[in-house]
Amino acid sequence: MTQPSAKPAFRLLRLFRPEEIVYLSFFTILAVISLMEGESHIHLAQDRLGYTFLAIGTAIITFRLNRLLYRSQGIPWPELRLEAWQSFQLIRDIFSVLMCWAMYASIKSIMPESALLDDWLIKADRLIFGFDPVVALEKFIRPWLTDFMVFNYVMLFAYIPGVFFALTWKNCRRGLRDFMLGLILASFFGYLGYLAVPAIGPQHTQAHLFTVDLWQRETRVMAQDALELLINLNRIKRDCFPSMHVCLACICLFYAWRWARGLVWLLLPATLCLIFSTFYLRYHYVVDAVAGIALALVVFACTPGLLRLWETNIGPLETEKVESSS
Amino acid sequence: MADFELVYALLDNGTLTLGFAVFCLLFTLAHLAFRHRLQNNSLQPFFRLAVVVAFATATFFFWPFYQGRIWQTLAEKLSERPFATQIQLQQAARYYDRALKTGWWTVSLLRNYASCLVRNGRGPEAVALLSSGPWSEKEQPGLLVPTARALLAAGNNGAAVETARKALQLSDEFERFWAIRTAAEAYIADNQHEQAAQFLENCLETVRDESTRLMLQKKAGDIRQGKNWLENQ
Repeated sequence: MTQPSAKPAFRLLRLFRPEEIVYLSFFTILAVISLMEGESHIHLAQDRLGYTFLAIGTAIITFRLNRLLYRSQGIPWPELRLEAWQSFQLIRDIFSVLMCWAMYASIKSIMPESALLDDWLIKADRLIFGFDPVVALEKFIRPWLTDFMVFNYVMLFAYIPGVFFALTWKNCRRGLRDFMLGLILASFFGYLGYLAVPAIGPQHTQAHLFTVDLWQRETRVMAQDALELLINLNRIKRDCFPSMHVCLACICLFYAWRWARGLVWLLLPATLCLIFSTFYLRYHYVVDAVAGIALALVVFACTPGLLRLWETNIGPLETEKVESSS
Repeated sequence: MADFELVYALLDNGTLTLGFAVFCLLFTLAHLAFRHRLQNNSLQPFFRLAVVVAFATATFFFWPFYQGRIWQTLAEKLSERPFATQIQLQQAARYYDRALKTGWWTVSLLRNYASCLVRNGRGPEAVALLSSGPWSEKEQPGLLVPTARALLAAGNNGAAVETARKALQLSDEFERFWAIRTAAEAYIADNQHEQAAQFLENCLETVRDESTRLMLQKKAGDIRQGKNWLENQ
């Protein structure tokens, strides 16, 4: 593709990718707030997720490198150079996914101590259904179903890497850029939602209405305890509206439909279960999930246009590969 | 505490990822050295030698460091819980001991180990730990306060005051506060309440934080009335 004659101000942007600009903007705002308050609000690592992702990236790079060495006679320097470039691209992609978590980890330190708006969300639920849907679900509570729902809820941590690695495996670079931009944009606006509508969820605000214990521990197995702990350790307070669990799961589903359709048949039932699990486990009101789906739809509709806009005004979505023959 | 929380701890501080990354690197190097022929054959022995050296370095230097890091992470996860049970603290002490046996140590490892022993009611062991070993060959400023606390827990109040007084020279305000508190507690343990109160009042001008100064001032008054350090908390 020929490079458009960009304005000088835009030339610098060519060094970046669209999603990188979004998360850099987010962290620039946080840096300004940090400077003003004299206290750092930037937390780049949601540690365990970040390190897991880095380990997976290391495994992929090692596998590719050794496969290349296995197939070649002598050390193939030009191919290794190309491999190094591709590995750098992979690390950069992984870094972008990590920034999605880092944004989540960072937002908690700027959460205002303003009044909670759970009442509004409860009223919205009652307006739609005429009753409290999350409370009404308690008649379905069974220990095995709770375990199944916890499993579904946690599986979001596999969706994003799943779609990411499917697109990487297919070498679908445009799809990957589209997906990454969608992921980061949805996170950006979703986390702004946390700031605008602080809410802590039905597990706290409607606790007095529940008559059935959700966590019937004596009937549960250890793996579910581990999963529950994973959920609780990674959560931040006031993170209800919109439901980013639902939003990000839908982002994965929608982009899989656009770029890796084979995955949809796996993700569709899983996403439906995940959405249900957010109510069943009393983490979200129904209106949170509706907002999450709406945000995912808007982002999904906008990203192709944004990518085209980038290509028209700034340049290609990625810098070119180094030549393997050089 | 369930075991998976310990595994999370290893994941949280990158220990598992670091080990895996080193394994991947060594695997690739071994693959390069022993399966491939370099285009310049005369370099092959040197390259293989370099890889053997890399493996030896990993074995003699990285592996003890890595083992130490694993045990320290597990121990800290257990001992840093505010309401850790005595059994958990014993378990943590065993992990700290294993970390030290790798031959790799840091001041923070020793501080945490000593603190764990003191919380576990094993003051004399904490004193023995801090006063023997390569770290005791020259004075480690970071170990003064833990040593004073350990001496206090072991009932060696005179030595606790002496060590805490040395720690008053440290630049860190938090360390100085603990040195002041330890010395005062040691005086109280020796039934020298007036001396403890006087000591606190003498230290007031070295405390920069206003609320800490007010608290110490109030403590001095309470101690004069015969109270212990924690009595009105």
